[in-house]
Amino acid sequence: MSESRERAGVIGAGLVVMGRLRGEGDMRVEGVLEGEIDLDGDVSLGPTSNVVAPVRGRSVEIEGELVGNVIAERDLTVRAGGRVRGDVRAARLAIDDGAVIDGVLDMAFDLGPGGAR
Amino acid sequence: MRTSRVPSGVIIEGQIRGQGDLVIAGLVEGALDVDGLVVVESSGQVRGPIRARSISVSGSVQGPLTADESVRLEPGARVIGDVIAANVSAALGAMVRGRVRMAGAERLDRTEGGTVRAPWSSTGTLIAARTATGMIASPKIERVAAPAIETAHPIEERPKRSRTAHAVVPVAPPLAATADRVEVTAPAPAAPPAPPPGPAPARRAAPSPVMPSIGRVRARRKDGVDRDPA
Repeated sequence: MSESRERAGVIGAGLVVMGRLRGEGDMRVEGVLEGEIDLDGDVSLGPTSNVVAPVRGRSVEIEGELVGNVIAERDLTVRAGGRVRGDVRAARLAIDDGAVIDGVLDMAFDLGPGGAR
Repeated sequence: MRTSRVPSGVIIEGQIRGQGDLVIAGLVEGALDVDGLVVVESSGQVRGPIRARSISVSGSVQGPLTADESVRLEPGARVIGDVIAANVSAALGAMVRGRVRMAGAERLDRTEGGTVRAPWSSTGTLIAARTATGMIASPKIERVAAPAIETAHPIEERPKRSRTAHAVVPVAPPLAATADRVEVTAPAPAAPPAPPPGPAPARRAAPSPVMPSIGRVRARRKDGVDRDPA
C-alpha cells in the first residue's frame, strides 16, 4: 500500500464529495464523502475522514469514520480511532485496539478438521 | 486463583464454569463461563459459547464470545459466532464470521456520519437497507428515510384541519344554549329535557300560516304528522 501512495489520489480534509468514486488506482480520503466508493486499487480513509458510502476496494484502511458496508478483496484494516458502522467482508481483517466496528463480519474460511462446515 | 489448562489431545464434553483463568489447547464441546481470562491456543478448539472477563483466541471457536473487557483475535483464530466485548481487536490473519459489538458502538449513533443525508434515494437507501439487516437498533437510518416522505406528502395536513373545524362547530352552540337556560331556570338536569318541547311546537306552528294561492289543506298534507294534533 505504501509504495503506491505517491501516485494515490487524495480528497483533502476540506473537501466534500457527493457522488460515486470509481475506477482504478489508489485513493485516500481525508474529507467528507457521501455516495459510493468502488475502486480496483487501495482505499485509505484518513483520521479526519467522514464517509457515508458502501466501500469496495482491494485493500481498505480505515482511520476515520465510515457508515456503510465494506468489501475488501484483500486486507481490511481498522486503525485506532477508526469507526465503522456496517457489514464487513474481507479476505483478511485487522482490528486495532481503539477501533470500533458495529456490524457483521463475513469471511470465507473453514474451521479445519473436526470443525463444522 | 490458578490457571487451569486443558492440554492438547484432551477432549472435554460438557460445560466448564467457575473462577480463575483457563487455557484451552485441547477440545471442549460445551460452554465456558469463567470470571478470568480464557485463552484458546492455536491447537485449541471450543464448540460452545465462551463467557469471561477477557478472551484471547488463536485457535477455533464455534459460538458467541462474550467478554466484559476485551476479546483479542490472534493470527490463526477462526471464530464463527458473535463477538461482544468492550474492546475487540483482531490481528491480520484472524478470521471471523459473525456480528461484532463493542463499547464504542453507541457513539456511532450520535456522530455526524449518520446524520448526513444522501440526496439521491438509490444509494442512500442501499446503505440503510444493508446495514439495517444485522442491526439491533438503527435510529440513524430512520432519520435518513424520513425527510423524503415528509416532502412527498405535504397535502396530508389538510384533512386534520377540516376535522377540527367540524368538531368545533357542533360542540360550541349547544354549550352556549344550555348555559343560557341554566341561568334562567334552576337545576342543570332539568334544563336538557326542556328544550325539545320548546322548539318543537315552534316548528309545527311555522307551516300553519296559509299560503294565499294554495290554501291551508295542502300545506298541512306535506307535513303529514301534524294532521292528528290539528
